[in-house]
Amino acid sequence: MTSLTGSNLWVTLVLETGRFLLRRHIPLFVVMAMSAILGATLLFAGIEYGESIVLGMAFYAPFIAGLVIMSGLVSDERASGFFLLWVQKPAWLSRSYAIRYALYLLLLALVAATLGSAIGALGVAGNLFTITKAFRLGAGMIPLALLPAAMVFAFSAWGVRRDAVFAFLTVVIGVSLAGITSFERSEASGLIQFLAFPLDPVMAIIGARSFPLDLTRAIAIICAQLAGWSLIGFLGLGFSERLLQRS
Amino acid sequence: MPTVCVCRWCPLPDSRVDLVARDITTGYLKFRSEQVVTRASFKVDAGTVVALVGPNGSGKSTLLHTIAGLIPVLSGSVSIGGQPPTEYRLRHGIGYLAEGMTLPDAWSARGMLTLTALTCGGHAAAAIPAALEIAGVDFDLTHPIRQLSKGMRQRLLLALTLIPLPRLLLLDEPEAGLDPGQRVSLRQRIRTFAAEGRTVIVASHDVSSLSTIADQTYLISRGAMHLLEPSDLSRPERLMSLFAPTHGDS
Repeated sequence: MTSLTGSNLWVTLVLETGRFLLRRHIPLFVVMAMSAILGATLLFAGIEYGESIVLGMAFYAPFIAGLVIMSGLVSDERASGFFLLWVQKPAWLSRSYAIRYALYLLLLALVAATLGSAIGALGVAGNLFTITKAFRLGAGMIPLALLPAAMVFAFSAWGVRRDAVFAFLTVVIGVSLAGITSFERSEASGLIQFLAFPLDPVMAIIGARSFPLDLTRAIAIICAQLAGWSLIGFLGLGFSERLLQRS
Repeated sequence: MPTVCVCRWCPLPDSRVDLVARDITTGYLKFRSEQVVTRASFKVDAGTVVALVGPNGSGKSTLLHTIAGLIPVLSGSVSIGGQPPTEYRLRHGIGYLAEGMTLPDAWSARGMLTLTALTCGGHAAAAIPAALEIAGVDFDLTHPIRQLSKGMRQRLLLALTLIPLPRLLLLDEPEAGLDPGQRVSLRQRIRTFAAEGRTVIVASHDVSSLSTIADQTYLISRGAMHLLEPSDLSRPERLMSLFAPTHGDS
C-alpha cells in the first residue's frame, strides 16, 4: 500500500489532483489536442483556415478549460451530500475547498502555459508571429483561463448548480461590455472593464492590438479581479458555514 | 487551580466524550412551523456503542443530524463533552457517516484520503493507516472510485469519516452494500474502536445486526425513543409489535 504520510502528502495531492482532472475532463483535452493538430496541419498545408483555428484556439481553449475544469467544485458536492464529509472535520469548511481551488488554478495555469507554448511554437513555425509575440500570447492565455475559473468557483460556492453556465453568461456579458468600451479611453470604460471582464488588460499582455495600458497595471487589474471573484466564492462558503454553526 | 485550554488544537482535558441529550425535540422548521420527528432524553457514556433502530422514516437520521449539530434542536439541549455540538465539531471533529453520501467518482481513493488528511491538518495523516484498518479498506487505493464496487465505496467513505480518529462516531446504515463477511468483521472492529474510550452511535433498521455489538439499543418509533431490553431483541413477536406502524404513521 502506498505510503500516505509526512512531507509527501502535498506531492501526492498535486499528482492525484492532476490525474483526477485528466480522468474527469478527458474529452476536453482530446478535443483541444485534435484542434491543435488540425490547425497545425491546415497551417502548414497553407490553407487559410489553419491560421484562424490556431488563433481561435489561443482565445477559446483556455477560456473553455477554465469554465469546465472548475465547474461543480462546491455545488456538485453540496448536491451529492459529500459536502458533509468536510463539514464534520475539525477545520474550517473553506479549508478543503481552498486547497483544491488553489491546486485547480495552479494546474489550469500549467495547462494554459503548455497550450500557449504549443500555439506559440505553431505560430512561429507558420510565420504567424514573432517569438516575442508568441511568448506574450502564451502569457495572456493564463488569465484567459484563470478568470472564468474564478467566476465559476464564485457561483459554485454559493450553491449554484449550473455554475459554469452562469460564469459563461457573465463572461459573455462582460466581454461584450468590454468590447464596446475598449475603444473609449474614459474612466467609465476602465471601471466597466474592471467590474465586467478585463479585456484591455488581457489584450495588453497579449499585445494583440495597440493598447496603451501599462503592463504592470494590466497585471494588477487582472490580479484584483481574480482576487475579487475568489473572495465572493469564499464568502459563499463562509455563509454556508455560518448557517451550520447557528444550529 | 490550573487553567484548561479548550482551543481546537488541544485534546479535551478528559478525552472520554460523553453525549447528553436533555428533553430534545428533533425535527425541521418548515414555513415557520415545527415538523417534530422525535422527542428524546438520553446519556451515552464514552466507550459505549449505542444502536438506534426503528422503521424507515422514524427519525433515526434526523436524530444523528441533530447530534452532529447539522440541524438545530427544536427544544432541549445536546452536549458533547460538555460543549454544544457545533462548537465541539469545529474544535475536535465528529465522525459522521451519513446515509446517501456519494463519493466524487473521478478521484482515486488515495487522492481522497490525502485531501481529507490535509483538510484536517497534516498531522491527521498519521490516522490514515488506522482508519483504513477499521474500515476494512484492503483494496488498491490507486484506482478511480468509479471502478470500486458499492461495498468498497462504503468502506472508503467510512475510512474518510474516521480521519482523524474522532472521539464521537455516528454511523448511519454503515453496513449498506457490504457482504456478510465484511458486515461481521466491521461489527467487531467498531466494538474494538469503542473500547478505546470512544462513543459510537449506529443507526440501522436491521436489529439483528446491531444487537450483537451494542451496549444499549434504542428504538425510535412513533415520535419517541425507547430503551430496549435485551429480551426484547430476542422475541420476534415483541419486535413485530414495536416496529408495526400505527394508524397515521408515515
